[in-house]
Amino acid sequence: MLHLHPLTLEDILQQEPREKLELFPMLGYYFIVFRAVEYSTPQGLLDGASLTSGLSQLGVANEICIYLVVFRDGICTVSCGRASTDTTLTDNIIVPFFKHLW
Amino acid sequence: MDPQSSLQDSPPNIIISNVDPDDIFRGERPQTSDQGSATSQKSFSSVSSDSTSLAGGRFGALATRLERAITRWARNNWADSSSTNSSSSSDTSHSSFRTANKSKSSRRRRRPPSLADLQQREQSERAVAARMRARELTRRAIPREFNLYCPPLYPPQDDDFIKEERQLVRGLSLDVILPHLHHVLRKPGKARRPRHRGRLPRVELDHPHRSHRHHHSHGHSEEEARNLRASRADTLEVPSLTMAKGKDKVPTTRPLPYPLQTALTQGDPVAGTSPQAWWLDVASPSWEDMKTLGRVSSSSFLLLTVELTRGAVATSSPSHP
Repeated sequence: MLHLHPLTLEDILQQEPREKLELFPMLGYYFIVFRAVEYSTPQGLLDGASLTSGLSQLGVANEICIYLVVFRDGICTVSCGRASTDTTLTDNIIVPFFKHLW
Repeated sequence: MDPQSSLQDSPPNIIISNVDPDDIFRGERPQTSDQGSATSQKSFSSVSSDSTSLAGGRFGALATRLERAITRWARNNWADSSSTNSSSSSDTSHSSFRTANKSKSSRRRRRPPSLADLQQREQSERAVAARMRARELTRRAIPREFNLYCPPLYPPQDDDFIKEERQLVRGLSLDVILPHLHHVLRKPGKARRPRHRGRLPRVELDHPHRSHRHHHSHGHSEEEARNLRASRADTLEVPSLTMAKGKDKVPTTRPLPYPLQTALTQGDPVAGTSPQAWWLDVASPSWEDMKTLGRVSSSSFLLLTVELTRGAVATSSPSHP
């Protein structure tokens, strides 16, 4: 589908922790690895108040690696151990951004 | 220590009865029994409590000696506890040993594990354990999830989606996303081949999936087969494979345009297509998912490897074969 380089696949699957930028001009994409901090809470242990206040005691600040494959016409983001993109974020930021592009 | 033992062994009534008549300190023996009993009571009580009253009499001397001995012993001990290694030889061994013991105990006394410290330590340990547990729970609870933000020209039509919007396809399985991603990936490939496009109606080029459905009722035509072949070839975004099959076998491949140069362009003005941009967000994928996503079709795998090898050697780019 995306025709990723085997090294790219290897980095993603083995969760390469080093931040880097690799150019694959023959395949037409960039591969970017960067680390980020995510505040996550275990599913099923959340209540509305803790979600809105963001002060849940069970929240954990995780370090996650995000793998970004930038194609000519699109972007593929892969991350392990991370919940999917928040719906609020997608509805308010991402989709309008893509609408602007489209 | 003898006076102590003698004192402990001899009962007090005997001591009282054996009063030495030549005792110069005590003086003459009292005549009356009342006086004697009073004296005996006085001496007996003085042994136990008052030391100054024992200054006269044998027991008073013994008690004084005993008291001095005790004082000396206590003084020595204190001196030993505060003494350094520069003390006398025989005493030094004892004193150093005692000093070490004392210092340890005094250190312990100086920094006793207070209740607050223990509680704080317990709380921190509990917090660390809770964090680790929460992290594990978070990792376990995160399911695979795929989000595809596709261009609005292709609205998803399946019913298996968790959330279905016009541009958003969300699913827990890659199988749900794959057909949409396949379709989204086909379009830019076709936009890069304007020559083939001239032979085909624009509607079919922009929407090959729809055109396929449309023509399915009328049967496969020759034009549609050509279109499908072209779309398959375009799906592989390798430097065009037909160019690699040249007679002179000179690698005439040119790298695809860099994403940052063309990612945000406003479509292909020549072909008249609208700007296309997609975003695939994959959360916690499995090995199979990534293999499927990054898979290169088996027919072109060899050619792709050759091209990659050539490209790596020629440009010495960071992409190693």
